[in-house]
Amino acid sequence: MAGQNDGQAEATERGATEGALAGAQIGARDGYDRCYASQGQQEYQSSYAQGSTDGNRDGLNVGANDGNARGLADGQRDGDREGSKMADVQAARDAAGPGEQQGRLEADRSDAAARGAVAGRSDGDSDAYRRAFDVEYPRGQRDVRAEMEKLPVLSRDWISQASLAQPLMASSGQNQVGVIQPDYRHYDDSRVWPTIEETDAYKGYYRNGYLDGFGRLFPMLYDQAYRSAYTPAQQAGCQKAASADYSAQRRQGYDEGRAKAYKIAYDSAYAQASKSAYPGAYSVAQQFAYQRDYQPFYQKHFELARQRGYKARYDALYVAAYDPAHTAAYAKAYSGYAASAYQAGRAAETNEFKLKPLKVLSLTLDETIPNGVFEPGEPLRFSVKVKNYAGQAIDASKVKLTVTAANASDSGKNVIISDASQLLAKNLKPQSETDVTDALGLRLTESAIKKSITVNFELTYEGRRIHFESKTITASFLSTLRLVSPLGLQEGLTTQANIEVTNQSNQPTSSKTKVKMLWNTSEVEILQPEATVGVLKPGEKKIVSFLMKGRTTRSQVDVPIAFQVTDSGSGTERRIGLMEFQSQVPVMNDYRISIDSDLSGALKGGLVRAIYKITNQNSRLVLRPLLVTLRFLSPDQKTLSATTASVIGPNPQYVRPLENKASRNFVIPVVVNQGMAKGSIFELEVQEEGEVVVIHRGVL
Amino acid sequence: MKKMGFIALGLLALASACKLPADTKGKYSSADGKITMEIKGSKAKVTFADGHTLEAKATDLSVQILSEAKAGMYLQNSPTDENILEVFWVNPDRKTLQEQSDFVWMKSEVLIARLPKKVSKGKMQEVQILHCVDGQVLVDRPTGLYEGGCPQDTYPTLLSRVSKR
Repeated sequence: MAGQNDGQAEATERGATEGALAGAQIGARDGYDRCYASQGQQEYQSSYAQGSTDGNRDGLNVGANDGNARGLADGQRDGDREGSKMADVQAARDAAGPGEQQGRLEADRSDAAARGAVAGRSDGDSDAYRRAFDVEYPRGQRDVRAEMEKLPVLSRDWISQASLAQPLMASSGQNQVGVIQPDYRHYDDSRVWPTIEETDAYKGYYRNGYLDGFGRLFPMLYDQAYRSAYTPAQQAGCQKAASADYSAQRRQGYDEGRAKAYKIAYDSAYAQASKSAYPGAYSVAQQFAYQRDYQPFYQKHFELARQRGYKARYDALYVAAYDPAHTAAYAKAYSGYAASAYQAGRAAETNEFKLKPLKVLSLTLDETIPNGVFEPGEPLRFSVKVKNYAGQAIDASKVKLTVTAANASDSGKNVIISDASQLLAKNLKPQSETDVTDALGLRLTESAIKKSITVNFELTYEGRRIHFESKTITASFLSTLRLVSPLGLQEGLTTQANIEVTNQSNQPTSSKTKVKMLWNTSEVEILQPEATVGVLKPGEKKIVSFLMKGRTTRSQVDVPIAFQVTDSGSGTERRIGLMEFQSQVPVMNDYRISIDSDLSGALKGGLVRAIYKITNQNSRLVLRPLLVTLRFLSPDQKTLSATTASVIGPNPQYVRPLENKASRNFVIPVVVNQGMAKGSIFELEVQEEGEVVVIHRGVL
Repeated sequence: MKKMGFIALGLLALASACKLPADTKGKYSSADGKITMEIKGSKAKVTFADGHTLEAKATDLSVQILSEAKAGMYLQNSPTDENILEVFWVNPDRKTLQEQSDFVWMKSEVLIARLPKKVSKGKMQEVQILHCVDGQVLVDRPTGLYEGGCPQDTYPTLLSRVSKR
């Protein structure tokens, strides 16, 4: 495709550099933060203990003094309050009868009945007005809406927004911050064709090719570089944290430890002292307060009782005059108010249709790779069915569609929105229903796998909201991967990893579907990093195998592993499945070999005594013959001739059987005729009863 | 210093094992009766199907003796089971003795077995032996390490105690 090579060239220049930079920065920050937090916690706890001791001592002293003072004050206060309260209760009881009798006499002499009649008439009129608008105004609105819905649809139309869309990059989105766009450093669409139409077509074709080439290659290079840079930067960040200043944590620990212990000791001493001082002070204060307060309380309660009696009698007289006056006034005014409210409702709804003549009848979010799965990187677009009620066409420039991530933190991380807003591509015809397709644009990233992501759609007319709707979607790879059995390694020997691939979409994959094994460590030699899956029908499962050898003397390998499914059936490779995990893979040989002598003399030449230690790790066989054979390989793993190096004595050597869990040393003397190259290999093979049980490589 | 360490370890492993355990004394035979073994005092004798025999007195081993291609039945304690004696019985072919750079090797008849020092009830009832006539003996003088064994097509034979009638 024209432009694709240029886009890939830019991706090649930028992907690894920018990925490594991001990985180093983020890794350093993560490492520092983790180790700084751990050390800070230790400093905090040590200072906390010292603060607790000091706080306990001080809290006991101060608490006892404060508690005594508080007990005296509280007793005085509570006794005074209780004496006064008793005086109040008694005075209220004594004053109630005389006070209410006085109030009723005063109400009988008031204008309560005249006031009730006037208020009843006024309220009857206003209630009729309010009721008319509550009922008749909405009825007028409903009638207008029903009339609009009955208008015939004069035309049906279809608008594709595709011509407005930005090309969407098919990308994994892994480790991506925001939308990564090309800077077009290699963009050159200047080729001229015989006609303007051909030239224009070429330019569009070139642009899509450039974006496609960049969009497919950049994320892959970026991710690889990011992962490589992240781990060492994280370790360096941790080391840097060791020399950080932790005085703030120590100060905080002491302060918090002291404060907590002080409070506990203080509260205990305080409570005991205040409890002792309280009772005496209470009794004296209670008696004094009763004597002091009885008479003033009597006067107050007499007045309250008088007001109660007055109000009760007044209200009864008022209501008796109010109710008949209200009923008569309501009946007289309602019919007039109802007619005017209905007309007002119709007018308001008619005006509303002028302001908002559109309605969204349906909204869907559509795949562009129709297989029933929202894949990471797959362009997604909206389809909207819009009805125009107006008798004239709606100008396309007045209808705006927008999409946003409902959760701002998803934007750029879990969802990439390439076309956040668009105007309609074409006018809406009068009294029409129109299907608008290929509207707006977004894609989910690999970070969104198994997460619910909500996006908000909005349609406005002349800035007024016509429709708002949220859509929640989840990203899934087309295929899923599962380890059929736990991974295992053997030093120098071939083991197999079996992976089950399942097509969870509703479309078959192409014959060019493959699984790749990514395991970036020198401790494992992957003999077959790629396995062909071929066509996988919807719901179909297949198991593929990978062969590998352990190249380590460690008992387990602890590194990130990834299995990736790709489909290159469309001409370009597309990731359709991914399984990543950190695994501790055991290295399980029946026998383990280590080198117990310095082999570096082989670099210079001469006699070298290779002393090996052999350990029976797992073999339970007893008295089985063991045989060891030493070979010499060049750095590129080719067998070296005897003119370079040779074993003194028999090769293979027969060695004594070794019981389970036992270890023993043995020697293989070697004559190196000329110095061996750095990186050359001493490869020792051990057989038990004719079966190879370990192949150990010692690299010079 | 490292060489001395290996020599010391080799001698220590071979020391204190020059007597065959009392519980192992007696006569043993393979299932087909073609191989028999008799342990008596500190001596043992094995008779094979072709009629040839191995007969020796248990003795301490030194690297020096082994490197001189001297036949013998050598005992050493198992490094992992204190109740086991390991038997390394060799009958070298002196004509095949070779030496280069203080490394000595030769072809040899080899018999390897593991004997219990003590049997909880009664006496040892059976014992496995690994035997070959075309084995190897290897001795490295500087390190004091020695080895020896049989080719891959050698299989162990089970000998059972022959009960008295």
